[in-house]
Amino acid sequence: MESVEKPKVRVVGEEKVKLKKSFVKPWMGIKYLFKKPVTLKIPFEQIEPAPKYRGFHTLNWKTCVGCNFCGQICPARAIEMTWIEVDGKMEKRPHPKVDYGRCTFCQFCVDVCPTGALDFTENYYLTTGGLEEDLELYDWVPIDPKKVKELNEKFRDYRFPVVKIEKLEDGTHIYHLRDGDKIEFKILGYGLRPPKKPTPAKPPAKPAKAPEKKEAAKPAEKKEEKPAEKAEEKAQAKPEEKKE
Amino acid sequence: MDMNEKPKVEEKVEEQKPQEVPEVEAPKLPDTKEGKLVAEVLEKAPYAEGNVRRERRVEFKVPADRIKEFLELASEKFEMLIQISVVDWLKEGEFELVYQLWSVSESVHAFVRTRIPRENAKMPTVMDIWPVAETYEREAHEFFGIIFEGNPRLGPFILEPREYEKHPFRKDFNMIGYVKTIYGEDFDRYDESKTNYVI
Ligand code: SF4
Ligand code: SF4
Repeated sequence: MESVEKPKVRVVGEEKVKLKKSFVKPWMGIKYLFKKPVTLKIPFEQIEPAPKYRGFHTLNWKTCVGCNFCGQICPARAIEMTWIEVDGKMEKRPHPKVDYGRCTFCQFCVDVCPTGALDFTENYYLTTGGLEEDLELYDWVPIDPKKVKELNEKFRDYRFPVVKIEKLEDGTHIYHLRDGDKIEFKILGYGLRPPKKPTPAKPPAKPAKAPEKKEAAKPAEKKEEKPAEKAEEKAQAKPEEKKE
Repeated sequence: MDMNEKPKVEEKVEEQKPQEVPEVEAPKLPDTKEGKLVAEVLEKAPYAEGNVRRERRVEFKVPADRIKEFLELASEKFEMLIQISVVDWLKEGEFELVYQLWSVSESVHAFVRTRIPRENAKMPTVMDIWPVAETYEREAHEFFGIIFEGNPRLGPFILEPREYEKHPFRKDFNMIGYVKTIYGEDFDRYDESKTNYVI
């Protein structure tokens, strides 16, 4: 033991930290009886969340390239790629759909998004009843940040910008926003592979979005690999299943 | 889906390159308190390998059959057992047990590594050296199925009865498969299925 030098430590004497018991001291707490209580009367007072408070997401549907980086980094696996049809025209790339039943609001997906399409706002209020149709609210394709900002400036109570998600038989979703506006689109399918029968409306969209194409090229390659892998895994999984 | 089937994620068994450097019997321990400490322990236990990772972090590699002996010896210098962690090296078919020791007097953290085969993994208990090892060994037994001979309380500990004896931390435990046998093929409330992991 002598060969090893001791680390130098400073020990505070016990006499300095040990308190003497007292009958009188607990009564000193009474002094707070006459002071203004530190509390917030919530229905009548507002609390302002910090700027950049991590709340619900927003998604710029124009700049999202459907690369699924957000879906890959999500620790809660709350993001599923969704194929969307707006005004009878399918979007070229899938968009993320965020499930707030799973989301932990870590905003890793926002940091990883290469185009900055996915972002977040300070909105954090979302309460619903327990009915199936109410619970649909927790699973949405985030809407445009401009719209959310507009709503925030109007209401200033940091609630979820959608009050109701109406789901029709044919996959049409209608988001009823708080100010009465509606966002209507159709969900064609999920996952990285485009759904079976894409609507032939692609050619007119191409020249308009020429600069975006380059960015989109890489994710497209990735997309080819991923489903193939998945399919392989499934193929592996299946035979073993049958053995049992 | 059957829970016994192989997990989908490919295990990456990586060789631990940095630790294998001091293979030659003269690791040139640095002239610091850690170096002296390791030299002192190795002097009494020539069967072990030891090296200094960095300041206040040392490491020993011990063959599994002499682990008890070594820990007894090391407990003179390292008074505290912080944790017994287990790593499952599936491809090599081995469990690696890492006894993490802390020296209160020297403020040095030591890893004592040892490897045992995966089948029928057995270890002598170290309860008589550090009584706290009882809890750590119960945990390692429950999650990896290592049997610590001499520990009287190896039994159901944390897991529920239906999970007991399934050893969920082993690499060949298929988590998603097991969850599906319990909660059904698709346990999501919404249309899309989020049960397929794509990383
Ligand atoms: S990371 Fe960004 S660009 Fe990529 S799919 Fe997600 S939101 Fe779209
Ligand atoms: S905030 Fe975190 S948990 Fe929520 S969707 Fe993004 S990555 Fe997933």
